[in-house]
Amino acid sequence: MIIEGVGLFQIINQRMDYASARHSLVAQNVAHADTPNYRPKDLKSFEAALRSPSAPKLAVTQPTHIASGPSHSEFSENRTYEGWEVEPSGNGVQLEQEIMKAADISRDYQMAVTLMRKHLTMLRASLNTR
Amino acid sequence: MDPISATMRVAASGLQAQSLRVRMTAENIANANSMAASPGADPYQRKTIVFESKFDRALGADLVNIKRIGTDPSPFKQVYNPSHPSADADGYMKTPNVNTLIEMSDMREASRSYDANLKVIEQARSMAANTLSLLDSNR
Repeated sequence: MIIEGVGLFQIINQRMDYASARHSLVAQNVAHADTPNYRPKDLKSFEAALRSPSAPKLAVTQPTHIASGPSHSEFSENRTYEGWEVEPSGNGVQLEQEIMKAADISRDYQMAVTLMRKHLTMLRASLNTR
Repeated sequence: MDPISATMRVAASGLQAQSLRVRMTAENIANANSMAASPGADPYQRKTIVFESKFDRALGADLVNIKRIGTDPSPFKQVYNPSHPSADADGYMKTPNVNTLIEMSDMREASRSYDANLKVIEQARSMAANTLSLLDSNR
């Protein structure tokens, strides 16, 4: 039972990682809402992220080493543009769309945290240390 | 750096850029009637601001950077006002190429973007608070 629980923790953990990585991309999009020639970024769906193995990364064993790509590269980015429209300045960010996405992400994260708490409570119950 | 801190940092760079943009529009509006000091010289020239995205290696995210603060090259308006100190020999003076209507809409857009960035920070904070509340053993 504990082992199953730990597996569940792992996936909830991944879900939280995914949500926060995606939220960071939304933050970039919102911050660049008025930057010319900026195209919004997003991650592939969580299902797709789970199915495809993450790309190999260069090991960083010294602080002077250059990390391979953005720090959240354990989830691959969705390269196709799924925005609603591109402004004449070449900017593709729609604030409304981004805020909707942020609300979704926030809800997802909340769900993952709630699940995590429930499972912690179950573990605690089994340890009888309430 | 963890994604939530990165989110905060990125949104903060957005706030900084937008507030500088509001400052630029404020300068433009304030100087909408700043004429030239000497006869025939150029009056206040409208300032423009250009953003660019800049990849921050330590953060692993694109921050907003001010590419440059330039001036609007559009021509000045000529107004016939021979009694004004900055009027030239023909009685015409140049007035700033500031259109307050454009400045107001620019300011409105900047404040909307500013609000959106604030919203993102708020959300990131509540996400972090949620996670921290897992440590609270009484819940």
